[in-house]
Amino acid sequence: MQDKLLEVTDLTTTFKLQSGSVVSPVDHASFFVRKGEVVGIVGESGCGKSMTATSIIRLIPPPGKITEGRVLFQGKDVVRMRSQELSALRGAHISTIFQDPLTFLNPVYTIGRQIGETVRLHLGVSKEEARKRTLEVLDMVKIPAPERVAKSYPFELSGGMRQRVLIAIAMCCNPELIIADEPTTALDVTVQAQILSLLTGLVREKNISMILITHDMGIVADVCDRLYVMYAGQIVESGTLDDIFYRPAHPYTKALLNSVLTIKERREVIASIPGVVPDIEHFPKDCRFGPRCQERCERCAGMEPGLEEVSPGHFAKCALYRR
Amino acid sequence: MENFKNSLLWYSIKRLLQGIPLIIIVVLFCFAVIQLAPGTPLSLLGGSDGITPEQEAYLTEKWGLNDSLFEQIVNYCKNMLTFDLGDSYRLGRPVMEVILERLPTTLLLLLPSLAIASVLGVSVGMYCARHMHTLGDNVMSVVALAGYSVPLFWIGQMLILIFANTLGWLPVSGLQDLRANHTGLALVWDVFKHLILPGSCLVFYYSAMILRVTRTKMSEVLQMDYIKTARAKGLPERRVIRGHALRNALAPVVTVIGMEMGSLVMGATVVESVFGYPGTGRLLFDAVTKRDYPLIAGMFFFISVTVILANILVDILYAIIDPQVRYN
Repeated sequence: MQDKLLEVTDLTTTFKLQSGSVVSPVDHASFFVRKGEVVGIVGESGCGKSMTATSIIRLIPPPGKITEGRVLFQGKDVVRMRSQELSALRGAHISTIFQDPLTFLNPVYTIGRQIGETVRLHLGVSKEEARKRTLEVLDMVKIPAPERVAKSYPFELSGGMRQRVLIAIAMCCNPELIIADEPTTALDVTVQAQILSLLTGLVREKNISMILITHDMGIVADVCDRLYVMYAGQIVESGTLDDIFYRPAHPYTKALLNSVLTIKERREVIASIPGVVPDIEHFPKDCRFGPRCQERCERCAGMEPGLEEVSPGHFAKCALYRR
Repeated sequence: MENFKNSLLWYSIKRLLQGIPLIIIVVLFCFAVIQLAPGTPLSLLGGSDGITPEQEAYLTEKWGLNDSLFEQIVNYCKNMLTFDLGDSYRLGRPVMEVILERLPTTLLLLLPSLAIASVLGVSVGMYCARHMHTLGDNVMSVVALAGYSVPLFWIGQMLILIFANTLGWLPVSGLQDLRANHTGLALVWDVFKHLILPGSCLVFYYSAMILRVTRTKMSEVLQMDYIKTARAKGLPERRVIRGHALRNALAPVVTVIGMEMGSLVMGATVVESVFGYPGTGRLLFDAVTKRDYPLIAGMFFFISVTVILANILVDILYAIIDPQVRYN
């Protein structure tokens, strides 16, 4: 087994709402990423996956706070870092690629400046060297005519190109970990595939670890080594790609996989999970998936299920597997 | 060629050219408005006794008041081209000369006020946006609300009452102490003391507006996704705010400052009147009450030209701040 690059234990993020109630979009999430590994976090929108990702580098919007847990990156706890240490970490060791390339680039600065700024900040090189590195990474993400693109503003580029630029920003300082938060969701389907293969090609080639956050089961099947399934702020199942896809244990994972459409079988009715994700202010006290669960039985009643080991390395937060 | 079309220079030239017809229209409009006003300049000239018929005939002839409207316009425009704005009825001197004499006095009061207010308004506005709904923000917001809702003349009078009358720290009015005959540094100090009260009055008002606009826009920008990117890149918070957020928040702030710059020549008529300050604002006020047509028209011309130029300047600044502007 390789070393764990990132180990998150019991991460809990809380928000105090205007109504006065306190909610936790991320509730005791524990997961880890090994060196060179691509780990997927999947779940419906609103299940807390993006909040988990932003919590890792402490970018939660106020008034959100990490109230519990540790985020160990190379043995150091990110939660307890001072702001200078955090600045040195972000962008240099842990990079983030966000969802919408249109809004995540600053409209008033050229692409070259936005990449070069990061390079100069973290690598402490001269302007000329930063420019060279900028062109290098633009070339790396397969942008034609890097010279011209470096002088362009974000609004002059297409969505796919802009996402390549965001990948270039993430790559420019040779990070150990990339957090990709729905990196292809805002793109056209044809461009999605290109960007995804570019991204995975690069992380595999450079042995960078990656956390891929998505709601798209098709994407994780293509690129991930291991998976975490999130539901209502909690990680409900974790395991290898095969565990999750061929031997799903948690009823939510089963339902999720069942609702994936494939081109091979033609369905009259599209399968969906009955009910909706419970409101964050009114999560059930016992199993959060309980009200929508097809396999609910007397074992579930009354208590919150623990994370049970289904098989070595394969865990499910479900009373069915309680021994 | 494509590059030049998107360049700042071409954009600026375009905006300047667009200003010319605007100025012509404004000139004609001013002329028309004055012509439509009831009464003639002669009716107030002689004070309560009026003027003799001989004098009236002489002045009517001299000022061309009997010419057809069309002839008056043509004459007016012709003179305008040579920057001859005619003679003031009341002062008997060229309008141009009268205005240029007063202009520096007004600028001496307004430009520093606007500059101080800009720095103050933007920095406090940024502070408020970053600490929204905290005690500091709430206090500043209430102060700012007072700044642009309480009438300026009242603030002016209160300042006079407190700092000039009661405490006696600062002079009540005017530009300098006329009896003292100061020279050199003493004169500078004397003028400075006279500027403090009207200046604070204006700074209070200007900065309140700039603060409000900065606070609103800045808090909006801070929610933007690219701010998240900047933070995720590891930029220290100070650079995120000054480098990435401020520039995006500046556009509406520049508009407000530009609008105030446009009204510079008009002067802060109210403040100048309250503090008996001999600037262009008072000049305009006097010209209107005395029906001094050439002076009114001259002032209008000056005001509209500065407003138009300030607007063009704002547009150019916009294009510098946000490059997307010059690509359309």
